[in-house]
Amino acid sequence: MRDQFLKVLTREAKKNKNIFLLVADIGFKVVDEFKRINPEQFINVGISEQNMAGIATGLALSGKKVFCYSIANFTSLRSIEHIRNGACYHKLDIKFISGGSGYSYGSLGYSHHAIEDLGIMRCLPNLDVFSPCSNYEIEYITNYLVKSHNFPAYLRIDKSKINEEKKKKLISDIVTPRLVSKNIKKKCHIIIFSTGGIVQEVNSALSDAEKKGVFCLNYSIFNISKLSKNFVKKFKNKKILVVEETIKENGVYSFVKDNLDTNNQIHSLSINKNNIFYNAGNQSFIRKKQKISKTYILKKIIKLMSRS
Amino acid sequence: MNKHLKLIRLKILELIFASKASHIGSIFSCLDVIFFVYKKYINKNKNNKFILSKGHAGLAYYAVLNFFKKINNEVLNNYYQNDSELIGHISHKVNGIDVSTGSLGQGLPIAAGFALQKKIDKKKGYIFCLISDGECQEGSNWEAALFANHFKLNNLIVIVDYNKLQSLTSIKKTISIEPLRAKWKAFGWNVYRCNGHSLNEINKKVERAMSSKKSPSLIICDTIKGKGSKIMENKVLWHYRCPSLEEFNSIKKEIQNYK
Repeated sequence: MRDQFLKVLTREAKKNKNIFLLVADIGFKVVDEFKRINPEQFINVGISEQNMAGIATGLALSGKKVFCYSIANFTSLRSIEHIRNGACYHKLDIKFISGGSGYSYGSLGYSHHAIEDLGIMRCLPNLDVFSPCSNYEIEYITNYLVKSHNFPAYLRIDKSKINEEKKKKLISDIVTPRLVSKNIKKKCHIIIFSTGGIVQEVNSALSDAEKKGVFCLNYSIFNISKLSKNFVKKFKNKKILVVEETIKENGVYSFVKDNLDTNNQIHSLSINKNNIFYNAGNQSFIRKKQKISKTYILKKIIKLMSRS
Repeated sequence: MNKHLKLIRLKILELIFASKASHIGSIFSCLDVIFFVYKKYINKNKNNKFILSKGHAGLAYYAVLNFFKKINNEVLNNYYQNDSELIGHISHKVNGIDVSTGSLGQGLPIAAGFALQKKIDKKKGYIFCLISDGECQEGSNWEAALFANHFKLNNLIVIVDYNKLQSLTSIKKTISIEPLRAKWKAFGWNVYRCNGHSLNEINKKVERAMSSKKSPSLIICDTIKGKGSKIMENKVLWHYRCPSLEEFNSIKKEIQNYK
């Protein structure tokens, strides 16, 4: 997804000389093409993420459209107050791009895990949060951010993603979640909302659930800022499960709960902030340890089915 | 003391007293620098910008803007009151102000961003950024200091309001920032020093800073916290204290009679 993001940005920056890419000494090789094609619009600020947010504020106040890129926790948590008082307070056209959301950098350890960023960034005023699950989604969002969005945004880029099918369901608009599981003909038992790379685990769990006679739909919530009212209306009196690779507080579960009808039963499968796994492990391994992997998603679905 | 600066100080004193606000010591310490830079380089010059990174001295800038008719009396008199846009820390919602600050260590990175934009777009003009001395304890300033030197931002002029006091005690007793000149020099900056209450001296140093060909410049302005009233001068108490009625009357007299 990161490469796809940079591919779109590189192309668009060539057309729009106001676009700037700031990196905090991150992106070995992957930013080379952007730099080669748009050398005047690329700045490596060094290992100084707070400064990056400040520099971006000055540039945006001068009319530039700025993308700030670093590893997820550095882009967000390290710079948070500079983002709040700069980009958000002044409502500027700055996009904060987080590489490696969730447990993308699993074995690098807790310092590189982005599991609180989504909830924390969602608190900031004037800032939209996006979390795509595939190359298709990130291309759509990047184009949207470049062409139709002129205030602060936070974009999470997971290392894991789903591989889209040729006949994939297309995004209808920026505020409507997209169906990413197989469309089922039988009665749907549970609606699942997920975001980012873990969408992939949900889809795997749904295949197994189907074998057990349980049919679910999985929607990718790629925009965790606004939800279409028409979309929300579709889900009255439904059993809903939110799956996310972040801590529960103020994450996607909270977003769904705030937006959906109170008659829905809304359940959560997320990371318990009081039970964080600190040892080494790749993304897939840590998902298991945090009980949000495919197996646990399936278990949760079966458990929800047994409840009235 | 310049008669205009006396008048502005009296106005600030009144507003602080009426609104029960704080930071009068910090405001008086940097008022002369702000007045000078605004009058000579910002007022009627769209190419230059001024960023007050020590946002708690916002009233100094509001009062200067009022003096130059950018903010009317009605707006200024509402300073710090419920629903006023003139909040305690400087706000970009106010006419004539580009950047809100209030969290120390944030103005300089933004100023460097402005300066970089001018370089990239080959635009004329200078970016002035006023920081406090205690603010030099903030790490983000040093990130920006490295950056500004690396990108040869010779259009960036930072002024340090060096009154030697911070909120609890002296800087020396808190976390010393000395040797200040050597530190900034080591970061590749031109460093100048002057009396921050002498408009003539400030003028000379700013002119020298403007002639820099490659490096950003820092002007250390030696100032007096609470300048204009012996009751307040060099006393840490006046970082936060709002004068009582008796103190208000005495300070007012002192400012009126200040030479």
